[in-house]
Amino acid sequence: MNMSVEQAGKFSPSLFFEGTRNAVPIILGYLPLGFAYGVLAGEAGLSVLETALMSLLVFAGSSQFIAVNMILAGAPALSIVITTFVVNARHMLMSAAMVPFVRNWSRARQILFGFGLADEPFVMNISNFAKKEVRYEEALGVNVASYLGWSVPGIAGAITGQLMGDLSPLGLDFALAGLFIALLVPFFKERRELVTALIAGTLSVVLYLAGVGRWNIILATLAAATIGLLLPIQTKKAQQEGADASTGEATSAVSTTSPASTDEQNGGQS
Amino acid sequence: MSVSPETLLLILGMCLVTFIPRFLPMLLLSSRSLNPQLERWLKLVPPAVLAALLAPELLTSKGGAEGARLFISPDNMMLLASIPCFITAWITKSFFGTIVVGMAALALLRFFLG
Repeated sequence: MNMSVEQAGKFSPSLFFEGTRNAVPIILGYLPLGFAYGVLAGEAGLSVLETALMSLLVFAGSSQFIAVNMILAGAPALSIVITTFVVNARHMLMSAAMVPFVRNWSRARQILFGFGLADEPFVMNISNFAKKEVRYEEALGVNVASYLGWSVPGIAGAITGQLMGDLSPLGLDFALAGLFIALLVPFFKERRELVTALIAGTLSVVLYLAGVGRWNIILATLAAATIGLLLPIQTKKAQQEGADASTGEATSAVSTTSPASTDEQNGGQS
Repeated sequence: MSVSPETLLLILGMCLVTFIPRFLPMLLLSSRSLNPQLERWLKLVPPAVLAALLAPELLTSKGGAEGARLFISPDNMMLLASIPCFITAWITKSFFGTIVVGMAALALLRFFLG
């Protein structure tokens, strides 16, 4: 990688394609989901072009499923738009969480990057950001590949109009859960992140079962991050200073590229 | 291959309420320095949002918000498959390894138990 050329503002295709490669697990997970969306949209009476437009302009999997179901149920357009807003309100938090990493990018780049900030590219990117210096091209590559990985199967589903056989024997429907687990577990090295995640997961389930509808994600995230911040948890540095040989071994075993390590440095400074 | 005006309007509405929350906070907050406490809070958002997305997938039964119920049982194959998946993620830190183990676990569980 030639940093001097990149920093001169030239768009680096090699970094872009590194980003697209990082998105392969996302594409794998999107494949059956996107396809199913396309089929369902056709059943709801959307044309192939309308189905494609929704994927290309909205790029938000869960809200597209909900929208198509609401169309099928004859819901008015305004209520569908409002529901979409509620379902996607969590993106405000995710967008804000990007600020420390993207603040030096131009406005145009931030807007273009923001367009592609669905859940999966968001978590993939923010995990990368926390691990290493990530340039705009690489982050955009993740988003663009995810965008195509979501849209193309949807269009294929709309055209064929039928599901591509039963994929459940392949376990492909675990791909996104597996991706979330792969992205979440590195945060567990830091006790504050671990506790925050446990609180968020519990609250999300409780709220979901309590019938708050699609508010569960954003409410659980807001509450858990706030509780997690306020909890009197020792920082990793303090833990390590007081650690005996056995726990020291345990922490050093997982210390290499932690998303939380930069976090803790910043936290220590504040 | 046609687009009705009503559907186009619906899609544009959905586009706006999705797109604006995705870029506007980033854009507005980038031009000012963040309070360190806020910055620490924002760094807890990724693990929180991930866990909030994942937990209902693993711990509740499918079937819409109305029919949802807690589903912690040996019959919950998503939950069972998540166990080797978590272990692989912790030990190997490999994206692909984790996802492949999870998918393979689910496939095997379905094959032998399903």
